Amino acid sequence: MALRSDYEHGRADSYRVATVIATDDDNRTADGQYKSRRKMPAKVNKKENLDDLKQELDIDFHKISPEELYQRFQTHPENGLSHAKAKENLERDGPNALTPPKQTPEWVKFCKNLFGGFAMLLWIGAILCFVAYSIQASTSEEPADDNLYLGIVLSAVVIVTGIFSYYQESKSSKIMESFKNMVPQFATVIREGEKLTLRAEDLVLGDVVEVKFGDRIPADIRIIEARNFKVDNSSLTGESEPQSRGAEFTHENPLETKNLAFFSTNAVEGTAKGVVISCGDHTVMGRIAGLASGLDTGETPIAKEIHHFIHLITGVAVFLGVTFFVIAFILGYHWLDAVIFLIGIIVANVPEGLLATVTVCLTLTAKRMASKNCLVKNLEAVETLGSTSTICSDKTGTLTQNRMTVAHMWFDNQIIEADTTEDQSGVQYDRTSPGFKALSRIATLCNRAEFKGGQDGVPILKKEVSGDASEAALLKCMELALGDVMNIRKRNKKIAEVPFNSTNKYQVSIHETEDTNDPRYLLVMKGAPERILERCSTIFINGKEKVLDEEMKEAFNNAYMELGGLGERVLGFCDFMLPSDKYPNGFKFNTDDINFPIDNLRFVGLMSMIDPPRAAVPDAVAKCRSAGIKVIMVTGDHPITAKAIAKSVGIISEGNETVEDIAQRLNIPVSEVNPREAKAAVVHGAELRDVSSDQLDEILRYHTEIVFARTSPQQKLIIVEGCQRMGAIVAVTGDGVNDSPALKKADIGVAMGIAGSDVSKQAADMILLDDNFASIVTGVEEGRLIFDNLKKSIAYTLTSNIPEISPFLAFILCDIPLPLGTVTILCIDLGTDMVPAISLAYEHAEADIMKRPPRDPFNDKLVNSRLISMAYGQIGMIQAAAGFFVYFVIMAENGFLPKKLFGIRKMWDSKAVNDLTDSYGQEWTYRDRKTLEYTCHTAFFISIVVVQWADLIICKTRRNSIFQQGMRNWALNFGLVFETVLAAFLSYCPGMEKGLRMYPLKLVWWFPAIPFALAIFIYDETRRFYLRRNPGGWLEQETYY
Amino acid sequence: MPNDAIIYSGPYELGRLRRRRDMRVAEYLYRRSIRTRNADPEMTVCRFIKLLLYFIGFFFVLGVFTTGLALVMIANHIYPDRPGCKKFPGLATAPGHHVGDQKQIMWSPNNIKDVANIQRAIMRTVKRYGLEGPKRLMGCNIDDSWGYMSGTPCILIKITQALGFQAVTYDDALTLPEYAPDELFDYVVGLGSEERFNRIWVSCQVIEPRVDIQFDYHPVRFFDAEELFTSGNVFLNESSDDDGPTYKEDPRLRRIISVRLSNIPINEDIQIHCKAWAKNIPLHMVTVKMLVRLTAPVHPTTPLVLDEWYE
Repeated sequence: MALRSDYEHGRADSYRVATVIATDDDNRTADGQYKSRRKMPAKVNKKENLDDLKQELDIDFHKISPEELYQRFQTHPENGLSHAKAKENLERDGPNALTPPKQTPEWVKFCKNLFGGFAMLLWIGAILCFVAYSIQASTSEEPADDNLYLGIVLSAVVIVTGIFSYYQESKSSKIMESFKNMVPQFATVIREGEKLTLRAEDLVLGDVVEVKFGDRIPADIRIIEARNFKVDNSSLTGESEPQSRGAEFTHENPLETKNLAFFSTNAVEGTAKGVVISCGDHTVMGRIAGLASGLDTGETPIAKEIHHFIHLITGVAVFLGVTFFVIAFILGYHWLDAVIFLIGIIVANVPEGLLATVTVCLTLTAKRMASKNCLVKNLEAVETLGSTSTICSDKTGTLTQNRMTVAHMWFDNQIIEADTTEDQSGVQYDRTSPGFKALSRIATLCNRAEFKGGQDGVPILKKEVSGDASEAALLKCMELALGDVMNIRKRNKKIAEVPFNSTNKYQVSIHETEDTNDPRYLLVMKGAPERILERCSTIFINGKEKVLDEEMKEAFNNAYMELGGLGERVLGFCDFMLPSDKYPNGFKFNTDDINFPIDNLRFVGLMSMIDPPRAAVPDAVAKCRSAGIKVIMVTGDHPITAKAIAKSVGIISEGNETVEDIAQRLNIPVSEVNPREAKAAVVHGAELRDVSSDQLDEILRYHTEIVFARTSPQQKLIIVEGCQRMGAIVAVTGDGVNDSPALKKADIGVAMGIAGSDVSKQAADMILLDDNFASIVTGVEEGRLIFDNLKKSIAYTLTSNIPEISPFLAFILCDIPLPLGTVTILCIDLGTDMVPAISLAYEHAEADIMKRPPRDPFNDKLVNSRLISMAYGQIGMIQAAAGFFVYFVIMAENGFLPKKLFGIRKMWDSKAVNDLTDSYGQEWTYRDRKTLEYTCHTAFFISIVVVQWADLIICKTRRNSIFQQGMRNWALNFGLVFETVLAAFLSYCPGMEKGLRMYPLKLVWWFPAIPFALAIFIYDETRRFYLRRNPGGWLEQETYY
Repeated sequence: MPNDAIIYSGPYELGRLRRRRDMRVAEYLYRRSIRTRNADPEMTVCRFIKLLLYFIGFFFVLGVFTTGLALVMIANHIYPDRPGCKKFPGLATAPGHHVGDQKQIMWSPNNIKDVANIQRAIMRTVKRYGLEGPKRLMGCNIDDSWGYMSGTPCILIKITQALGFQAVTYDDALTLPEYAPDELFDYVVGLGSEERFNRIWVSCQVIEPRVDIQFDYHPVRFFDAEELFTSGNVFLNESSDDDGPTYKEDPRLRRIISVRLSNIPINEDIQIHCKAWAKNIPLHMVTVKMLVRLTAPVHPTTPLVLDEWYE
């Protein structure tokens, strides 16, 4: 009532009405339900901005006459700008692009990498080392260099890691930036009388552009011609209804007059022609962009998980460090030694390479998806896609090949299946039969479609055709079957033609025959089967012309019903040889006043055609189904066609019936069928119009296989909202401007890269560069794989924490010589473990990745208690046992049996004791003891490397066996070799004993850890075997991470 | 077309649109999580016990496995009478305390406390050898203060035990390395040929060339390398005494000698390096560095005592 009242009082300006009534978001769905309990605050800021914009928009381009406009810009409505003028304007004004939002300065990004996250912990450790060394230097004349070396190494580690992370982030940003260029926006421009297609960025002031529906307005334009032209200005003004635009000046306010259209808004109907009046930042959208506070992408789900993990590990590190600092102090250690323990424990706990691994993993995922024709516009969409539970898919071009193709033929009283595959690898049929020859002749001659020129090397199915879809299908089919349609047409010259029309529903053409001895003309006709049959009196069967009796008519009807039931479009074909005595050579055929027979013709056969499914789609749908993803077809096409396609690709699986199928089977009315008995449902858009939201929810809940046909854009949006009410994460595919509302509403919008309009591409989060539904499955798989690989990498990285921490604990609690040094720990975390951890990002998906239900982000965390239990409590313990085993073996072989070591630490570290006696009575000087200790550090380090071989291999899978997964990850194989070679280098390279305290080992000391590596492998393989054997069992409950 | 029909993903996207959708996604995920979550089972007593038993079993198996490996290692690589790996001997000295990589010996003859500390350090070392130790080193302890009261201090030098090590000695002066001290060369040349064999030579020298300190080695200036690095030796008794055909010898005694320093300048820091020379012992492992400083007493009663005696 308020709306009417305002309108009745003369407030007819649509913009004023919009500013009063329309709101950006009233927290309600299209059917009036609240979307969430939280209501959005009023959009005060936008109103203020708009008022400000109105004040600033002091332009007169919409007021001046067209002639004045042309004169001002030195342009012409028909010829446009000259190339020279355009070049001059481009150099003067720059490209037609908005200045990107203010980015974080590079030095800030670098500092964040250098000081953020775990880096701060390491910096603290380094500072403490330098402080400790300073204190030692001030209290003794020749202090030990260990703390100095450790501080330097820690500092170097942080700097190198920061530089590496910054480099990876920069590379990732560049990759994402390059994706923008993969989907450029083009504009149709007239210059020097020639119509050109240019990149929108190359537009200049004064250019004459043509815009059609589905395009995005490339710049602010003054409209000079319009035909049913409407634009969607919602992104600019909030007006939700399309606005009619024309050449007339209707309002002083630039935002309200009809003769202006603005940059980055969308044409939704009609066509228009206009002159560019503003470019780039000077456009209205450019001003708004300048007012915006910039991008606020928020934290991605993966980033949230990572931060959660960082906080967890940091807490553990600090807690353990401080705890053992206090314990060491209480036990009587010097406070400086206690500080060294603190540093060691922190370094051991911090997974220094994790952030680099995450960055590489994300970047690799984006690149991999792009290589599979799945362009990601923001990486968080990938992870969300991995959680998708429902895909609302368009049909044409996405599930199908977007080309009508002859699927079946009926001749000689039998249905023949044609080859509809993309590579023509399907069934073959007899092309020499008289029936086929007659049918193919008609299909060839009674056809106005033609191949476009300049396509000699292009495969037949990929050639462009001038003509409608049905005739194009016939043309390609005959070209494949007969070889050279154009030559056949030349030999059978067309004399006269009656084109198809909706009244007659048939098409007739008269041709000369290629038989020079036969002077008769050939009349061929094709059209709606029932119409063709009405005009026939005979039928051509097995090379003989027979009377079209009831039996033949029954056979025809059966074939027609069968083909039509497949959802295919059916055409009938007939011909007739005109008698030469009545229609001699040179006869003047009159197509307006028919002077030739169109009755008593000879019926030859039927051809049915369909837009065939893409070859990869059935498998993709099956994968989605096994992954717990519901695939719903939403199309504007006919229900029968939609149903047929749905069945052929598996959206409606074999054996599942709709209510119509059940009624037909039971021979009862549809109204008597219990809808819940039908697992499949085909819902017509007309029915959907009368369905309430509750009824829609019921359909979505009780039918697992659903097809929505003849749907409008509004209905598509309602369907998406309904799915979301069911708690689904909805991905929507679309290619037209009509799909934009649903794409916007969807949790993941997926646009078509080839057939998609600019509007849909802009609205989407992901673009399928090949317009193939199977690529969505690729995205889902990659979305799940990214999480999977990160989890594996974290599990691998965390495992080594236990063998790194336990030496310090033993040093303090058992009073034994230190088994593993801090610098050696860094050699593991940033040396031998870094490449293998990153290589897990290259791991292929496990065979069951698409059989898992969608991830629950609130429960299925990146790091959970089971992962900690496995990494720390089980595998980590085996690794620690291996390390200590090697340590004690080496000590024993050198003379210190295990029982001798307990309690010896004080004397061991005392420089005053130069003849410490071992278990055999040997005497050790301080220097000799330190050499042995460093040798044990190296041995402990080597043992961790050896057991990490096994850990890396078992981390390749979470459930499947390694023998099922294989060793095809060559990056991982390289990682195995790399860490081994690096370990050997660090152990045996001359000079390492000075810088890193790494002493060469006997080769035999590499072997004691191997049994533990085998134990890890056998244990985990056994565990996973029982996981697979008893899915959902106790073992999975407690150990599956 | 409904509100917010178009959303722009890209650099021109306004922040509020992204945030709004993120909130919606989060809300849907939360609601779906509530509906579909397969909640972790509650930590009941039964579950805790099962988990505990699982870990106990795991660690038991790990313990058995490790013990088994240890037993295999002991059976094959750990010997009851000798270590699996040989080591080089080192050089240890007494007294002194370590500062950096050198030992400092600072004392004043009249400072009883300094002398007492030094005496205790030396006696801790000598005491290990029972009654034979003081007897072997008697030449350095004439004044019962190991020379520190009389200004001629003694430093004990011990080559550490390295079971099974067989020293390869310099049996001729000409085979000594060029960097060996000339004083050692002269000493070896002065010995008879029979006295040069199988001996690990010891040399001490002052780093400052202008200081002339005399070193006297007691009882000898070498370590007799014959069966030196063993836990005990049995030799034939070649004397005519009636002590029996064989006698037992503890080679530990032969692994310790002492050196007396004379003519030490007063109130000067003297850098002294002592080394043991054998062909197959890395020199850096049998080198000790010492800083010796004799502080002169300044006491008014000293001249008085001398004067009284003179009178």
